[in-house]
Amino acid sequence: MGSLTRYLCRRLLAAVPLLVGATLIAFLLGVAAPGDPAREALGMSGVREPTEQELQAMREQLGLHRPLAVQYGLWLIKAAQGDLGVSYITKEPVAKELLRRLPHTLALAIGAVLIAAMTGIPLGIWMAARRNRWEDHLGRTVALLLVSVPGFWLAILFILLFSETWGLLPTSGFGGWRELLMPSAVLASGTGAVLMRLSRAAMLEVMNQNYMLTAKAKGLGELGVLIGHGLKNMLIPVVTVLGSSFGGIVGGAVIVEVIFAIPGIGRYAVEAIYRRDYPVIQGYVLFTSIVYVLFNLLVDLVYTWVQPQIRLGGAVR
Amino acid sequence: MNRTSLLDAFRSPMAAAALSFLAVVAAISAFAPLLAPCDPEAVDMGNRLAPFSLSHPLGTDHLGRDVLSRLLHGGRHTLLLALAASAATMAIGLALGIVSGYFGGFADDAIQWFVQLFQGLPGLSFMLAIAGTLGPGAASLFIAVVITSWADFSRIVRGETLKLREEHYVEAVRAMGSGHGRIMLRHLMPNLLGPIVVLFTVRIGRTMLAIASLSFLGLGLQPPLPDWGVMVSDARTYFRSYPHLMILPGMCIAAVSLAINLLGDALRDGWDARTERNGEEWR
Amino acid sequence: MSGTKPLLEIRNLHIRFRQRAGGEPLTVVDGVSLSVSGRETFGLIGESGSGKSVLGMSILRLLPGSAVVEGTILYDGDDLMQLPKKRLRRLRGGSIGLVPQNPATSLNPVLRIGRQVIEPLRLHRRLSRQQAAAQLLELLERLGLPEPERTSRQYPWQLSGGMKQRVLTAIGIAGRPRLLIADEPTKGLDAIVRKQVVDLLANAARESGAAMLVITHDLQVAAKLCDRVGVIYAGQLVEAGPAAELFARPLHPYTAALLAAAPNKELKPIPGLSPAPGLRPQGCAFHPRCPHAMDRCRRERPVSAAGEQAPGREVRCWLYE
Repeated sequence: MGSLTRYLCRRLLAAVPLLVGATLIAFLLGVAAPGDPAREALGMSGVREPTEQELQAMREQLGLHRPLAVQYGLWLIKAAQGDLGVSYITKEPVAKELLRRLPHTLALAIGAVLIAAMTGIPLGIWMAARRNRWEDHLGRTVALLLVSVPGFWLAILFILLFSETWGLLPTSGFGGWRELLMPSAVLASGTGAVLMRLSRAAMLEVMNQNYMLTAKAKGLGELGVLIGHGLKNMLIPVVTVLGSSFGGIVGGAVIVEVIFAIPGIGRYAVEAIYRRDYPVIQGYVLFTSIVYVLFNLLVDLVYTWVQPQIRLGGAVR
Repeated sequence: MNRTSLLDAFRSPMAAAALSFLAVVAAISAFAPLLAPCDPEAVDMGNRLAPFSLSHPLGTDHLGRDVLSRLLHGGRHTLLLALAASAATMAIGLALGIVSGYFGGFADDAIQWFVQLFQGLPGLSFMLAIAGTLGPGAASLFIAVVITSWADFSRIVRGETLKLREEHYVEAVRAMGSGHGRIMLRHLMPNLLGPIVVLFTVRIGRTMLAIASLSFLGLGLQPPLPDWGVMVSDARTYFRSYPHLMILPGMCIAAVSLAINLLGDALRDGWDARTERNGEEWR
Repeated sequence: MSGTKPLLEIRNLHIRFRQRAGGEPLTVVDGVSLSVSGRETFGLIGESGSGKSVLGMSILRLLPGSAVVEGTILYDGDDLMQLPKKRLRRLRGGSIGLVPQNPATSLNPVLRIGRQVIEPLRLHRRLSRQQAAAQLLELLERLGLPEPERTSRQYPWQLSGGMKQRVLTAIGIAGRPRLLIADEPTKGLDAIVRKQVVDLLANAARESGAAMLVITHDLQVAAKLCDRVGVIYAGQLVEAGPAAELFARPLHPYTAALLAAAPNKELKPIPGLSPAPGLRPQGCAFHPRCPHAMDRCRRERPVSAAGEQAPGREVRCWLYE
């Protein structure tokens, strides 16, 4: 157990600079944003045409005259306490709004990861098993197409096909799995294609290994050899990529949320951009980073199952 | 020797086709003003959403503008921007990556620490935030792309440099008195060419998609610019009755992206095959 | 020796490998015929690259797709080359067991030892889960693995080279094979462990009454373990016969040279290099390095002369025409 906790601690520590970077960037975005926070703050308390004096006073009150580093520190402390400022438009606390919408984005993202993994990995294995035959070529073509096609276009095609023409699925809203299916599938397409190609390559690599020959010599069938002996080994590089490709899913979620009218943090951020609601953009950046880093930590955990060396203290290959 | 093996990649018919296609697209984009039958920005409210006809082979959009002309012009800004942004990314990533990998030690630690700061943010979200904060338009897109992509690029370059640094010939050249700069420029860079070309190709493809996505959201290139992404965004309201207004520009983006990816794949296969074949001997 | 039908009979086996770049396929096994009777241990001796491992792997059809195999391999009367996949799979790990080369890479690094050894047990012996578990521990113990309980829960990278070899042997004999193929069982092991492995295999064969095909480059191992021995050079069987006799009175010049080159003899190296597949010389493959080479050797390939010098011995050499 000691080895496992040591590994997890190391991963947690590695996550720290990433989060620090994200907070720094979020803060700097706030600084770079046009508009005057002092004016906004005064506007919110009802003062429409503030005088120069009032602006100065407000600036001092908000600490805008302090050096940037100090401002960052203060902002960070407030953020750690859950205070991410207040929306310029709705006057609601940003953190609260984001938290309210986060579950929708998460549902979408997790759905996408599941679809991508559960189709991409088996298909990749299948392609490796049928290397250079028509199944392989077809799979590679499909994967290439999915990776090249822009998400918003795929979404439109899906809507035209499944909603307009065949009337199978709803085009928008948020409720049950029906509403989630298309958006998740669109979101999953890019990652699914990457997983397909990677799984194929990883499986081909594994199939060359001596222990696969030993497995065959035991009399196991194709499935027993590929899945029973190959799967865990080929998942090692695949799991690694899963973490980084989640970034693409979080990013792509924005497009999907907008097209399918899903009330997640991505759509919220886009609307905030249209309305120049900068505190929301700041909060969005922070939230996406946290989600991304947490997911990667989860992936690190899964990694320990796939590579037992980590759990038990052996040298990692 | 690097260049000849990269060119080997074009032996594959797919890669050759992809390259030819891209050349055609580049030519069309460059000469669009000469090729287009109409002015892509000419509004004609009397002839909105017209069907296919001889004067407008692909119909007109919701402002009466000729769709074909807009499509021909559609790639220019995106492609140019993608190329410029990718080149800038490459320059920064290359410089920092080589320095980081070659010198190691403090310089490496410092640069890597800096790189880490940028790694916690998913690409498109970050670009969205930057474009959103700085305001829409080509300039903020450029900045957004460079800021979000340089870190990954430099990491890969650093990895390759580390591998190369271990080669004995670097020690030999140092022993002969070559300065660091000379080594990096004349010995390391040429050998990095292979993976860099592959990276660059892939990067252009992804950048193009990102720019198109942001333009689709209205946060990148702006109307009335005849750009594919903008066209898709414009046509959203009408897509139920006039789906082709969205499908056509989307198809253009997809086709160019596909060609770039095919090319990148072929280059990567060529590079992998070459390194497999030669091992150490070619150095 | 004569009279009983052999368990394994290989007739005129040719194995070629297609090349990625096209062109002529490379010949790795060049017309080998041999037989192994039940309860007999047959040693296949040769240097690296002589084709002996490829031959061993071909029996269970475990060669890669680029291999082209021609000839007949009869096992208990069935031609293994023609057997439908399903029946072949039942033989693999069951009636015919394999102890593969390379203990370091032949065990799956992400699966526990117990899981890997129990597989053939459950597959070929119809045991219930508890019975199999019990058999597993018994098997591991019998093969000299201390603390079988603990070992079965470990991963391969936690074991030493010698222990890994024992585990591989356990996997090979788990299905109670009638024929055990051991591919280079002592390669890379130090002298003490080598002796242990040799004893291990000898016991395993004796206790189960199985026939064994031992593929090795180590002459001492062959001398210790085998009843009969065959010498392979450049993909051909150049000499075969009872082990003791062959080592005492080698007939083929290559065999004689091999014995002379042994560390415990004169350590006299054989001049020249073994031919790579595809670069085999005309006529007798050994003639460029043979001290007795005659004109005929350069022109014609010698045919097998069986039983003339002594019963049960065969040799391919123009010296004995």
